[in-house]
Amino acid sequence: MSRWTEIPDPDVRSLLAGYFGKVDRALASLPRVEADEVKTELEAHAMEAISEAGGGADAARHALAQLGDPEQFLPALVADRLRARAGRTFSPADVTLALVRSGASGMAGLALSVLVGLGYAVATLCITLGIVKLFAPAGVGAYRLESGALFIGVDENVQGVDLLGIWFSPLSIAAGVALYVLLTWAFGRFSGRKRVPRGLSRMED
Amino acid sequence: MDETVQDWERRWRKSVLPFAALAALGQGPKHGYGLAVALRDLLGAAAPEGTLYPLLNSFERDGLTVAEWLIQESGPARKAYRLTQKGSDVLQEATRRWSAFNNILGGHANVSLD
Repeated sequence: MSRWTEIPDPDVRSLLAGYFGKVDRALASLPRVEADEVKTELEAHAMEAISEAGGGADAARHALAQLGDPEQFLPALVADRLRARAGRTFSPADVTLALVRSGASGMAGLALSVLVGLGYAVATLCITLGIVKLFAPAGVGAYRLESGALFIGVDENVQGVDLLGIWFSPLSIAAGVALYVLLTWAFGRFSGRKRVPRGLSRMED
Repeated sequence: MDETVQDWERRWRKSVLPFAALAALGQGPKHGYGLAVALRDLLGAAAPEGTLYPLLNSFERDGLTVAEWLIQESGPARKAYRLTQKGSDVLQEATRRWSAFNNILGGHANVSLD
């Protein structure tokens, strides 16, 4: 059987057009090549299932119902691929997209995005403090207060000993960048599904 | 009571999907639809077939399978998955542990029936 757009039965074509319209929308966040790859695979699945079921609109309805709602099963796949891409490129744009799509893919994805997002907020804060220290050295940094407590942050009226001086700036920026890289590396390797090898290695004999 | 057991069985079938998918691929390379048919025989209609694709994606990403595209003279190209050595090792280990677990649980069930 050829591609579904060439199927002569208009009812089947219409069903498939509706289904693959949903697939297109669900895959819209992926790069074009990856989206086409997933769609082609699903098309092949649907075509074969319809053919095995005898063709016709009823067979198409049954086959597509068996395949499932793309809006339900594709977000996990999309989030997984976007996380993997973010872990490869380390691009803030890819990371942001992966965080958003991962957060929309279910409760586990949302929890992951919130947790990782908090980590990125800390990384951003470290880098920001490091940069601010360069332009306004007084009141920004790590201070030992008179009470003995440690203060890290911005306060023009802070009373205490500046522990790192201007070194706070490169150290804070380096810490922020290191945290960003580490988080992105770990985020890119997180799978929405439990990884079989690690799962097995944790099992008790 | 029968409904309770049926509910348990549905959950078992869903939860063993990754293991069953790996076991089906252990019989030889398969494309998505072929794997769905094999799993239907193994597990019944436990989950929508589309849920296989996120699973296959994670297998590929974890190095348990590799995929290759087969270009057909007519119809869309098909992606076939086959186990890697790592995938075979994981399947072998999972099978061993499954058998051990089954023996232990079966032993307990028999004792309680006596």
